Amino acid sequence: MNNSLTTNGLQLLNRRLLLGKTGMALGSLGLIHLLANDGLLASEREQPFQPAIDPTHPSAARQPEFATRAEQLLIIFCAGAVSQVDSFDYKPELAKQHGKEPPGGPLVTFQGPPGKLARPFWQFKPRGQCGKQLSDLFPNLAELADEMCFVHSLTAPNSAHTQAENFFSTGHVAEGFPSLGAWTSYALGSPNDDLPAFVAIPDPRGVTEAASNNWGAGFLPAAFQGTSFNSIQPPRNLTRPAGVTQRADVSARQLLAELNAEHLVRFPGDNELAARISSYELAGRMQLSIPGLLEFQQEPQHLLTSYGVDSTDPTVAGYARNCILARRLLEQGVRVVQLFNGGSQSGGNSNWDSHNDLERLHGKHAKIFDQPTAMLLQDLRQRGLLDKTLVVWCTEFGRNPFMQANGTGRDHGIDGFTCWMMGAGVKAPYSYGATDELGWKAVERQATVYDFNATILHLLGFDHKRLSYYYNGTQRRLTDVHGQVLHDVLA
Amino acid sequence: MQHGWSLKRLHRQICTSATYRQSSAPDAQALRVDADSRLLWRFPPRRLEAEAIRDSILFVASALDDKAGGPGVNLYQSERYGSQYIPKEDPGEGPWRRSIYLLRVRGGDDGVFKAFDIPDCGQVRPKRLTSITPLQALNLFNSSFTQVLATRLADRVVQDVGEDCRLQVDRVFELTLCRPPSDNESSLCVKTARADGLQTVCRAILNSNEFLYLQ
Repeated sequence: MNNSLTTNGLQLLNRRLLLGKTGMALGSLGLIHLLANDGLLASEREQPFQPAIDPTHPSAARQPEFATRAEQLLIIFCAGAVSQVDSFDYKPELAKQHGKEPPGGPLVTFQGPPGKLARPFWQFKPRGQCGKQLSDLFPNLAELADEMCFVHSLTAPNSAHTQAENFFSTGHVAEGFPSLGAWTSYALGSPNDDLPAFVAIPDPRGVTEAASNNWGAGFLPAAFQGTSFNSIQPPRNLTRPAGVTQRADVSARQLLAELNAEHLVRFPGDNELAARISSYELAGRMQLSIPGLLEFQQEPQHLLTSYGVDSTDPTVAGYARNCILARRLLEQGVRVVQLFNGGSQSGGNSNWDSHNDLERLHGKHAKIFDQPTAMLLQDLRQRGLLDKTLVVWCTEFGRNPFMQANGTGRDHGIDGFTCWMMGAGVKAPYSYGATDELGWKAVERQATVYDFNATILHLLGFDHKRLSYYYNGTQRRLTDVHGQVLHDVLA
Repeated sequence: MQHGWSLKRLHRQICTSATYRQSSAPDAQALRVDADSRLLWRFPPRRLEAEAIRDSILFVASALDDKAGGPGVNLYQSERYGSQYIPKEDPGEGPWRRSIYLLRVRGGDDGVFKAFDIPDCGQVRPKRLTSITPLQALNLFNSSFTQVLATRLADRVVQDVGEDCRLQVDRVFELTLCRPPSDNESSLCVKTARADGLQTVCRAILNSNEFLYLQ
């Protein structure tokens, strides 16, 4: 709807409220008619949607706003910015113009003046039945081309890693806003009571630049924040403290239960006290169920090998274990899993940020990322989990089709980059939008991260304009006041 | 106004009124009509805020440094970027300063009390929420902070009243809950203290609803 009214103004024009407030006066019925004709009357569709949350059981499973296929969400995040022209965005013209000056100069990008246009470091080949051109950077993922839905025309508003990560995960450049995962667990809760609704799995090399802001709850209730742990580092305080024997631990737990029960008798019907007691019971169950998730003995050896767990490179083995952990969490019904590849920037050594020697650095990270991730996706498909899980692969922005002045690396590129989706509710094989002939700027069906996130919420069964939380006088949304669902990517 | 705009007089009138002084104890009939106390027939039980929980634990264990002013205390072991601050595992030797003197960083998590709804420093928060999550339970029950302070509390009580288990339990209740234990509570706690040490009793009580709620 195109008009100049504020959200509150629109609420005031809600048909039912208006009828209620005006006591069915005939005059106001006439007014309603006029407003409706002018497109100024808020329909039910524009009203904020707030899930009904039982305060004593905030993570109970809830229904989406409308029926949908995707019940769970797997976010795979490659930190540091993956180069689109070397991976998913095929630009034959770039190879032809190799060595020429980038057009429109003189340019200054994030780290300074640029060098020459440079052809991709990896060869592109047609893949799958669909023949989509993908590079050899990710040979295993490329095999899945027929199941992928690419968005080639994404743009980012900020070319600094931390801020762009914040933006991708929360819709805001500044810290402290709720993450996509937190919004999702706020909206949908979780069917599994023994595990957190939202788990973030940091890379074995450490957390990314924006770290916990990627899974923070912002102003949403703390119950919806992501719990972070990986195959190497279980959550803090999951086991009894050092120096406490198992017997003393059981004994303290039992005494606590007895004291609380006696206390509750004096406050019959107090939901909050009862909920706190049950939160200790849930904590006890998590204490038992999480270590079990990290024990892989039941996984067949051939599967462990295909994931890459046997690798002599501890980062490959660690990331492969994280991929298995992600699958196990999804199997257990965990609502949102956010799997990270890459830690903080560290000159491009621990994540994708390849400002120099891109061929070596991207090559190194692809070896860690490609096989375990492809295996994870195949494993999910084999177990039928892709039918109800939406997978999104993202990176905070792209890289330029030209070199930096050093001639070996690519600088941050925010004007056109690629992310993809797969699984429940997604049209595949499909490619949405396009960059220019050099793979630099989005020119066809330009999309923002707001649009991408709006589409994710839509796939999960929510209208991004309605799913909101009243905070500080405003109905807050993941997409703020922006975003259009990319309807073309829906199956 | 007639009394020269005296606020003290106004406060006295409010504080001595029957409404203000009515018991917060539950009442069966009132609970049936208005369980959430929307009409304020009583002050509803309210969980202490994160900082008050931490300071109370330190206070009862005689481990609180209540000095005012001076530089803050850094609980973190690394100093990269805000959200990459990693809290120290070991709470240290104490005495511990009040929570308002703890360094707060954007996105930072102290590892125990952030889960009790401390707002992120990246945002302005007009009013805190009170949530109940299993992470709070894990943090308060399993953290080395709680364990160290439970042991301190037990040591203090032994110092106060000596080796008699029953007197020790009485003293723990007096310090933490401001009341003597019931007969049943006393026998449960004495049994636990004899079998697994007074610090086990202290750990349970520091996690109990009665300790964490204002009522």
